[in-house]
Amino acid sequence: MPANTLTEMILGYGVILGILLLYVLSLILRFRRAKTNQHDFSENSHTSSH
Amino acid sequence: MILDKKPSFLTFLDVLSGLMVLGALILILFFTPTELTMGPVQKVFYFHVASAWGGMLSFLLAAAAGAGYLVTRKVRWDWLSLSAVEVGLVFGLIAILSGMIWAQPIWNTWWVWDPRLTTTAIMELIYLAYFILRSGLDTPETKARLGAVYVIVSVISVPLTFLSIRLFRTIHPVVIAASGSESAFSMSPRMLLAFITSLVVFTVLIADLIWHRYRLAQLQNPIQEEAN
Repeated sequence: MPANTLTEMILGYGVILGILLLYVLSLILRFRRAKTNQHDFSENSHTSSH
Repeated sequence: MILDKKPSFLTFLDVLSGLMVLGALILILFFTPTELTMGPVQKVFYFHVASAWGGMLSFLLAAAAGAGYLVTRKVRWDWLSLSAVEVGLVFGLIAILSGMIWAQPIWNTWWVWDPRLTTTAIMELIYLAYFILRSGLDTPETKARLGAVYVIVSVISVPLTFLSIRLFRTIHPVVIAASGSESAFSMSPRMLLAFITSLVVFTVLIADLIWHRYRLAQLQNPIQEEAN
């Protein structure tokens, strides 16, 4: 009879998918921040050129 | 420089990788047999090996991109190298943690200083140090140049990790071995199908994530982009 390791299997896939989701989330957040910074940068350069 | 509009192929790749991960999960959870001794935890194997594969593939790509930078001095190669290292680290971490969870009920310990586990941990630390190295350097040009040299030298840890279970005595199973080999990991046809599917899925997934990370690097470095 196979060992009862269902909890470990769920934990394993939870960790795998959890880390993947966290990484995707970090990419989205960093992308948004970089876009905001770029927008601020272009506005500032536009203002200083006048 | 304003970042180009998101390519439609990248959107397609996002949807495809999401669907493929979901499909592979269904295949693993509902269509692969439960291993007779280890029970359900053995199913972690499919994504565990695929993560290790994804990590190693990313590190190889990082080295190739590093060489590309040294030859052409185009910053785009540095961004690709940086992106591949970051994604490789994520997949390496997944491989280590999922392996520990699998090992706990089977080896009765979370961790042993086995050659495969040790070389994997060293490989992960080597690539983690890549970011420490870059953060300690001043100019983007120095970061790119020394980073490229670093990833080219570090890539030796990839074949060393892959071959460690063949070169040294180990308790880690050998998944890919010659047929009939004593150490070969025997799989039923449905297990083999899920295994190969997982490798393909993770290959598509790392391509998708590296592309996104590359676009982020492009967005974070508008001045460098214009200089090239």
